[in-house]
Amino acid sequence: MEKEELNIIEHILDGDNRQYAILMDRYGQQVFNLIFQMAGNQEDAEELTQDTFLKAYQNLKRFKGESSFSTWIYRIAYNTTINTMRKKKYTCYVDEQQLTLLSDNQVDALLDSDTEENCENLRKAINQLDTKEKALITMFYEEEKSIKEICEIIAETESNIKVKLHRIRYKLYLLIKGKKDETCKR
Amino acid sequence: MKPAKDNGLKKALMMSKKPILPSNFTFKTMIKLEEELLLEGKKREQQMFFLTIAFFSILTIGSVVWLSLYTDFHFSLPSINKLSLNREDILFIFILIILLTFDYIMRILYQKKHS
Repeated sequence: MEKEELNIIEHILDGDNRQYAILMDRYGQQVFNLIFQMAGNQEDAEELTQDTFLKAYQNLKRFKGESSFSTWIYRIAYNTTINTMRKKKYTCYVDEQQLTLLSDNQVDALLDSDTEENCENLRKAINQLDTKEKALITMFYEEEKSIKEICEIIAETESNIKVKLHRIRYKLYLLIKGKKDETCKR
Repeated sequence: MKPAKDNGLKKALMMSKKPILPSNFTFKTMIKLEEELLLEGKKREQQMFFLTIAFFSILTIGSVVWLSLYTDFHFSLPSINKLSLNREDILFIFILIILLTFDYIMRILYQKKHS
């Protein structure tokens, strides 16, 4: 697959632009899903997906094949969305002290329970997370990307990602249990 | 951290509404891409035009300076009353026309190759 993709990219760089449609058909929906989770609405997600592919085309010369094309395009999608969503920031702050009071068992039990009611609560809590947090859990839990791959996409260290995932789990717990700080800032 | 746990969280993520990318997305993006490429081409062409102008201006000024310094040639702006062309002027105009024609042909070839 990767060799084939490198071949396609070589053709595009040689001037055969139509080959780019193959890559768009292959990764369009995946990129769109990630952006949709981050942006939260379909129109913005469509526009940002288009921006992502246009940016990727303009920077195709810089793609050296060190990572897969999928990782590379995810990275562009992530950065494009973060930069756009920064202007429309909506964040729920959770009291740091509350996080330290929680035990792993409590959080594990809540996040592992797949009852209808719990899932609905979790879904609501996910919507309250910020853009970066949404991206992280989408990549890790929904798309089942490895920590290493996520590191390449969001350009952070493995330990940082692990800490962030850990904190997001705790935050979700607090959001569900209604212990969140009352200041949800827009 | 194993992805095997947090089943509820996974299910909640899967449950959330997943819109489908419109079927004409690739087509629309390809059109936008072509437009951007065209725009970029025009910009590059404009840059080339200004670079050519700058190059010839520098070349002309340089030639005049060089001729004034190292030959008997003395440059002075002709007055309207006694405007007359000598051999050097004719040669200079001739070379300028040839170079501009050459530049024009190269542009056409470049456009054909990249369109």
